[in-house]
Amino acid sequence: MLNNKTGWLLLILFTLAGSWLSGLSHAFLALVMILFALKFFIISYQYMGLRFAHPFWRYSINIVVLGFVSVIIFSSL
Amino acid sequence: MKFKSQKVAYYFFALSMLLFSLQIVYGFIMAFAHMGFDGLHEWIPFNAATATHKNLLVVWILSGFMGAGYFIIPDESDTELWSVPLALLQFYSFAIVGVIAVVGFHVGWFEGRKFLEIPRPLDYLVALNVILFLVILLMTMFKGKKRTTTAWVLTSGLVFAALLYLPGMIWFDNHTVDSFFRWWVVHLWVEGVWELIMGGILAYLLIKLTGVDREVIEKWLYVIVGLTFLSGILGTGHHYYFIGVPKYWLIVGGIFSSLEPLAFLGMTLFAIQMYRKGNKKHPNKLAIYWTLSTAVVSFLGAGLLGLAHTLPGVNLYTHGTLVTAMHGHLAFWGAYASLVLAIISYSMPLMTGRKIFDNTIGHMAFWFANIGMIGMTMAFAAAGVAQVYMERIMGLEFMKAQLEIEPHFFVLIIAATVFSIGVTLFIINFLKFGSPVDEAIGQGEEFSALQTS
Amino acid sequence: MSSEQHVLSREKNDILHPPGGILIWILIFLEVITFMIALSVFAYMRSRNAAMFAESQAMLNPLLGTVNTIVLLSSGYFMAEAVRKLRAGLLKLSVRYTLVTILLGLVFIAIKSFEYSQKIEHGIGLEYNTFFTFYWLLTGFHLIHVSVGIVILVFIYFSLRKGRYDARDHEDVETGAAFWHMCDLIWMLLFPMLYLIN
Ligand code: HEM
Ligand code: HEM
Ligand SMILES: [Fe+2]
Repeated sequence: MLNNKTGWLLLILFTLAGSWLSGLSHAFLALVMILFALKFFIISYQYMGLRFAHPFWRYSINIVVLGFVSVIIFSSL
Repeated sequence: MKFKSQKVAYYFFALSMLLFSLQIVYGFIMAFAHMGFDGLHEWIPFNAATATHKNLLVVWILSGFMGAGYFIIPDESDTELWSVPLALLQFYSFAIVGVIAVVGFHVGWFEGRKFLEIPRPLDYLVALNVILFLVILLMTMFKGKKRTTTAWVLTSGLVFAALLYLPGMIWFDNHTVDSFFRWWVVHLWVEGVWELIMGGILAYLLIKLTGVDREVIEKWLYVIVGLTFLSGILGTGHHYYFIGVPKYWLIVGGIFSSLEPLAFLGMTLFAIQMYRKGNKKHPNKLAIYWTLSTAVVSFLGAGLLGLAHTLPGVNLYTHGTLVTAMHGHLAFWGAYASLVLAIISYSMPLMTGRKIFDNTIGHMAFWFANIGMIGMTMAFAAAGVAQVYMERIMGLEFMKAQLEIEPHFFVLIIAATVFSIGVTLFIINFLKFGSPVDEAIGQGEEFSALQTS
Repeated sequence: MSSEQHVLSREKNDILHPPGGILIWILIFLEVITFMIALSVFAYMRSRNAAMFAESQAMLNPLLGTVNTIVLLSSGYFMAEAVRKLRAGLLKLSVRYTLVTILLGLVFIAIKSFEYSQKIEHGIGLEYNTFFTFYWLLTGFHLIHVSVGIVILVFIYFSLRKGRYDARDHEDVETGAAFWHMCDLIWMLLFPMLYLIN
C-alpha cells in the first residue's frame, strides 16, 4: 500500500530515473513526462490527501494533468 | 437611511449626474467629428474633446465612488460621519478643481497623456482633496464601534487608488519610462484597486438587496475580487507590448491578463447565484437590475472584449485603434458606470424617503441605456475591425482609413441616441427624488427586516 | 480504520470540503493551470526554434536541478508527516517535522540562489534569449511561491509550538501544507520541461 514513506521512495526513484533517462536520449521524452505526471499524482493523492476528496476534485486534477502531459507529448511527435 | 450625515452622498451623486451628461455631449461632438462634421473645431478641437470626454468620465465615476463611500461607511460603521462641514468642503473643492480642469482643456492647458491630461499643479489639488476625503472616511471608521470587512475593502480600495495616482505625477524625461508609469495609474486603477472598490460596493448592495448572509457574500466575493486584482497586477504587461520595454513583458502580460476574465466570470456567476439564493423580496427592483447588470456587463465588456485583444499577437494589430474604444466603452460602462448608477438607485429612495424604485421610467432608463451602449459597442467594433483591416493589413494611410469608416459613426450616433435617452430618463428619475430630507432618517429599515439572516 | 483515515473520511464525498479547504484548492488549480499555460507557450516557442532551446538547455546544470528536486520532494514528505503526526495527536513530532520542512525549503532556496548566481556570472540574464526569459520568469515565480510558503510555515510552526492546534482542530495546518505541496506540484512541471526534455 502507498503511504508517505513508500511515496517518498517512489518520488526519489522517479526523479533519478527521469534525470538518467533524459541524459541518455531525447527519445525518452514521453517516458520522462509520464514519470513526472506520476510524481504529480503521488504528491496530490498521498501527501495532499486528494484520495479522500470528492470525485470532482480528483477528476479535475486528473484531467488537467493528463491533458497537459498529452499536449506536451503529442506536440513533440 | 440610518444617519443624518449620509445625506452628504447626495451632493456627490448630483455632481456625478451633471458631469455624466456633459461627458455624453462631448461624446457626440467627437462622433460627429469622426463623421466629418467638425463645425466646433475652432472652439473644441478633437484633442480637447477627447480629453474632456475621458476626464469627465473619470471624475464623475470618482464622484460616484465618493458618494458611495459617504453613504456606505457610516452605515457599515454604525456611526455618524466624522465631520459633515469638512465633507462639504471636500465636495466643493472637488467640484471646483474639476471645473478648472475642464475649462483648462479648452484653452490648451493640459498634458497630452491619455487619461492623465490634468496639468501638474491641479494634480496637487486633487491629491489634497482626496487625502481629505480619506481622512474623513477613516476617522468615521475608527469612531464607529463596528468595522466590517466590506467597509475595510471599500476604504482600502480608495486609499490604494489615491496612492496609485502618485506615479502619474512624477516627471520623467524618457517617454518609455513615462508610459511605463502612466499605466500604473490607468491600468492598475481599472483592473486593480478600483475592483476592490467595486467589490466593496457590490458586496454592500448584494447583502442589502438579496438578504443572503453577510458571511457568505463577503467571503466569496472578496476571494473573487482578490483573484482579479492579483492577475491584474502582472496583467499590466498587456500595455507594455510595444512601448519599448524588454520583451519578456509579452509573455508576462499575455498570460496574466488572459487570466483576468476568469475572475470577472466568477463575479458574474456569483452575483447571479446570490440573487437566486436570496429571498427576492426587496422592493427596490431598479437597484437589483443595475447591480446584476454591473456583474454581467462588466464580464462582457472587460472580460470578453478585453480578452479579445489582450494577446500580443492580436494586440499587434488592434493596438490604439477603435477596437480599443469598443472595449473601453463597454468595460467602463459595465464595471464602473453601472455600479455608480446601482448605488444611486439603491440609496436615493433611502435618502429622500420617496419610493421611486420600480417605476416605468426607471425600467426604460435601464433598458435604453444598456441596449444603446451595446449598440455603440457594436458600431465601434465594426469601425475598429475595418480600421485594423485597412490600416494595418492593407497598409492604407491613417486618414484614408478614417475616411472609409465614417459611415460606422452614423450607426454609432444612432445607438448613442438610444443610450442618451436612457441616461436622460435615469436623470429625470434622479431629479424626481428631490433632495434628501431628515424625515427619511430611520426609514427603509423595514426593508432590512426582509433579510433572511 | 486508522486514525488518519477516520479523520479524513469525514470529508469524503463533500465537494465543498476538499482536504485543506476549498479556497486553497481553487488557488492550487489556478496556479497549476497558469504555469501550464506558460509552459505550453514555452513548448510552442521551442518548436519554432529547437536548436537555440537545446543549446540553452545544455547550459543548465541538471545535477543541481535533480538535487534540488530531491530536496523539495523530501521537504514535502516531512510536511505530510507533520500533518499525519498532528492528526494522531503527536504534537511534538509534528512541530519537529514542520521545522525540518522549513529547513529543507531554505536549502532549496540556497541551491537555487547558487544556480542563479552562476547564471548571472556568465551574463545570462532575463533578456539573454527566449529560453532564458522563460527560465528566469518560471523559476523566479516558483521561487517566490516557495518563499511565501516558508513564511506561512514559519507562522504555522510557531502556532503549533504554542499549542494552538490539536488532533481535531488543525485546518490551518492542512491549508498551509497544501500550499507547500503546491510548490512541489509546480516544480514537477517546471523541472522536466526546463531541465530535461527537449
Ligand atoms: C453618447 C454617448 C457617447 C458617445 C457618442 C461616445 C463617443 C466616443 C468617441 C467618438 C470616442 C473617441 C474614439 C476615438 O476616436 O478614439 C470616445 C472615447 C471614449 N469614450 Fe465615449 N462616447 C459616449 C459615451 C461614453 C460613456 C458612457 C463612456 C463610459 C462609460 C465612454 C467612455 C469612453 C472612453 C473610455 C473613451 C476612450 C476610448 C479609447 O481609449 O480609445 N464614452 N467616445
Ligand atoms: C473594468 C475593467 C476594465 C476597464 C474599465 C478597461 C478599460 C480600458 C481602457 C479605457 C483602455 C484604453 C486605455 C488607453 O489606451 O489609454 C483599455 C485598454 C486595454 N484593455 Fe481594458 N479595461 C478593463 C479590463 C480589461 C481586461 C480584463 C482586459 C483583458 C483581459 C483588458 C484588456 C485591455 C487591453 C489589451 C488594452 C490595450 C488596448 C490597446 O493596445 O490599445 N481590459 N482598457
Ligand atoms: Fe489593462
